[in-house]
Amino acid sequence: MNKDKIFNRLTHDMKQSNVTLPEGLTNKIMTRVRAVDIKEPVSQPASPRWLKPVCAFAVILCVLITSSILIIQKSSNTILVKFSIDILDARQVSLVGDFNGWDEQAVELKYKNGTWKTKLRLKPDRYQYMFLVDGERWIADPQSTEYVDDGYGKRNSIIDITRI
Amino acid sequence: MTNQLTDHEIIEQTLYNDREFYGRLIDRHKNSVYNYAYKLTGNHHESEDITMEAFIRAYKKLSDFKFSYKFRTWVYAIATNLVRDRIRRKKLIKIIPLSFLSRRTDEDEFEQGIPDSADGPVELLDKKESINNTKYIINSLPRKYREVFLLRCLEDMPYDEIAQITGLPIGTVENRLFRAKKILMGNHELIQKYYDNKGGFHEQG
Repeated sequence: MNKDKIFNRLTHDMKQSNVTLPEGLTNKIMTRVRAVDIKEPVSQPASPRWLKPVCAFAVILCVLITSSILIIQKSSNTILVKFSIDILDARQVSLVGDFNGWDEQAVELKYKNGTWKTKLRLKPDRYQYMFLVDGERWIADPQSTEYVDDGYGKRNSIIDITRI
Repeated sequence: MTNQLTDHEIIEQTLYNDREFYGRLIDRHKNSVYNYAYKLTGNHHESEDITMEAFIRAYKKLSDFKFSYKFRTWVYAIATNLVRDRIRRKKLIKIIPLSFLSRRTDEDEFEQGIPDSADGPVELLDKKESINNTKYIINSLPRKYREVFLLRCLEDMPYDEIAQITGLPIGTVENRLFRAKKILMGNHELIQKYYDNKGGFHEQG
């Protein structure tokens, strides 16, 4: 008998012998998860020392220019970006753009004190995005500094984080 | 739509947006974690506890998650440590003597593992036998080889990921895999009985 063939067959058989999970396992875990308070992320992957003053400057600059995009922290290869928009009459607001494949359901913003907000960790790049309100109203970010025609009579907002 | 989000994106959404996103990570990885735990412990109740605990611990520490790692690696590492803890505390796993290798099935133990599917009695029986016998084969390995063997051969993980999960140097992982294969292939009695039970060895494809 060829030992390699037998071994491969043996492992193949074992792969096929998966057992079935008990029903409702995800719900059981999520019930426990909902009872847990996790702290806000404080420790991110370490960034080079020189980056800290650069990021601090970027934060100040962004706060002055716009209130809707805030570069919070840069890690080794991604940047944490906070998006927010003030809409009082919305029931639901989504952030839709290149970074999530224009998936209308991928990123829902949270509402607090009149502001809808979310944070995303993005790779340095130039992205187009829009806010989708109540699943039907497309709104460009009013505080964006750059826009591009979306081809449907509206404008996409642009965020450029290639040089941060 | 849901499938477009990577594990890292789901973690971000869980942390910064809505904890309900975490359910997507559980759905994505629970099956492999549960089966890994089951193949190490051979017990459904323990496997369910370990799977639940692994995901809950991962959630509690989610804000410390390092995005340079895969979530899968992390949750497997937690599950591996939970299994080790339980083995240490309860002596959960016993080496099953080869003399027990037979057609017997433990109905009680495997009752919960059989799916309520459209499988007919013959298919269910075959699945029970298969589960039962593969468990014996894994148990025939010394315990220190089982983790790396399962992660490599059954989960197709690269050496460096196995090293991260088990906390072993890559060289040790390679050595243990080599030894595990040698032990299994040197156990002719085990292999013979396994394939006798399955109706003989037939080459595939």
